[in-house]
Amino acid sequence: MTATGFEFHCPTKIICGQNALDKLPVELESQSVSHPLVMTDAGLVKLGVAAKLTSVLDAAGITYDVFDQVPPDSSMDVVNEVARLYQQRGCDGFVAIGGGSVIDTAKGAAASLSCEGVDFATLQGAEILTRDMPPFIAVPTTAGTGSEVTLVAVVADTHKHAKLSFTSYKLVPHAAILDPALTASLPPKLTATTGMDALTHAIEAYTSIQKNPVSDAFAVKAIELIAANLPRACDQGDDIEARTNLALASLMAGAAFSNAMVGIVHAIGHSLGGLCHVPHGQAMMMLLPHCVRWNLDHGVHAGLYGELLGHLDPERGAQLAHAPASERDEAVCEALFAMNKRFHEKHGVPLTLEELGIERSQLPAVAKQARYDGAALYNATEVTVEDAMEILEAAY
Amino acid sequence: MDEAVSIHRGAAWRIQALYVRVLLRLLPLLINVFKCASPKVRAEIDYLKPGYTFQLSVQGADLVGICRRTDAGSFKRVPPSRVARDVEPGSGQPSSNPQAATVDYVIDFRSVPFAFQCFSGGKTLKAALAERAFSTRGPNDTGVALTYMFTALLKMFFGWRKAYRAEPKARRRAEAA
Repeated sequence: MTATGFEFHCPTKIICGQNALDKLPVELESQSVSHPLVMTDAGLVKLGVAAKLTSVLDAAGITYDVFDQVPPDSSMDVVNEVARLYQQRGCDGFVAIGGGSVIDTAKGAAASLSCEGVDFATLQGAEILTRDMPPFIAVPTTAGTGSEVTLVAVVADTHKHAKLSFTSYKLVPHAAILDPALTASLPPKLTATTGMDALTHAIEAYTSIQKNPVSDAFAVKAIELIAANLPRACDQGDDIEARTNLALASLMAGAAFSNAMVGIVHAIGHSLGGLCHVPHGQAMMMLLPHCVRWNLDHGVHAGLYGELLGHLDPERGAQLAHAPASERDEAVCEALFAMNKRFHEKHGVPLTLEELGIERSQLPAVAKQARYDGAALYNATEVTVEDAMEILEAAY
Repeated sequence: MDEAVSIHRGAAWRIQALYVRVLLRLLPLLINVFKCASPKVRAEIDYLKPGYTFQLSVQGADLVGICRRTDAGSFKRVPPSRVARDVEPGSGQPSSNPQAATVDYVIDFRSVPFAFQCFSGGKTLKAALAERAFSTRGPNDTGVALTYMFTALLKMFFGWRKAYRAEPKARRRAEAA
């Protein structure tokens, strides 16, 4: 048992499995929603993924409005525009179908509405919101962000080139629908990067200062599911079982980090996203093994990473069952580098900042912003500019 | 209910509240004195722009300390009566009253015992964060800088206490070798 106080909150109803999307009308009815605002992005409309959801609503005779212009790096302007549209059209609930950007934008608009139209930008911080959001159903189309169960919303401040994060228990969606049909068309590269984002959530939640026995249980199971299913889903996109397990793993990793928060990988990753526009999953994938390497080299989380070996690589875990903790720590680090190498070789995922076209001269600014990123506070040790630079240099 | 209130408002609670009140009153003075001794505290103050104003408060008690950064890099106490009433502290919105001070960042402890533990070195600020012992409002980056500043400040006072001695540190590579 733990002597340290903690909080864990995950009230989201989870609707998971093949054809789960068909349950949307019943779910809307149970939440007394008769005219939802469907949030999505242009890419999902083009791919016909959004139509899978709207066709379910059409068949059930549910009237709805659609906002399909959420950009990949959503901004405050979009959040406020959505809130206005929701009020103008007389909507009474949100259905957000998409990746993190779509769900987080909808969260922002919903939170703004719960505060009677207050500009979301003024609500930065932790645990500020006191009123419940309108009914909110999240339908993720990537298995990575876990935003369908998290208390976090990340929105870009396009003027300051920074990612702003908002955390509140009031931002947790009321229901999450995980249907493998929605992620089946995700290309291998995106499957790999979003899956590694989920893995990063789980590993950072397990090593965060807010870790607790409940979040640990979620994190460990998420790691197990990702390790077993991510390569399969990348190789065979229509593997329904692998897709379902990955979606569930992403949700569980989301529940873990929503309650334990994240650390240095996210601090640097947010900064790379804000200043260099590196997609979040890509940044997480690239940075994770380097941050683990750095931590181990500096005596941080010694023994803790090793506890995850049996879940990340069961075979190696069994081989090293009685090995010293340091050896198991190293094996976890090696396993993470090996996963990245596999995705690089088989699916062409970039593994260095140079490959992404980042200039070396940009790194000091990234390192400085990382030190002052909100996620840095939850890292076990203080993130210095020098530490962040070392990691960025290693990933260059 | 009455019993619970009397437990919380007992002698220990009142002593803790008095201690926190005195400390909040002395806060700008303490920052100004100890920034001379600590480059780390100075560095974090430098990160905050002149005019930056933060508020430390405690829920369930009338305990508020508000400090404003001057152009010279020191902090001055802002009397609560001078704070804008038409905008919420930490919202980042300008007040319609140009004479009133607006608060950029708020750290709001959930109770007097939580605040006391932090301000007396019984618990590090990081440990308090881990327990969600306080809520915050305002831009993350300056909140992080403030947290670093307070952590350095509190460590100067209470570095001898168990909570600080047990804090994990990253070993430098040379040290590790």
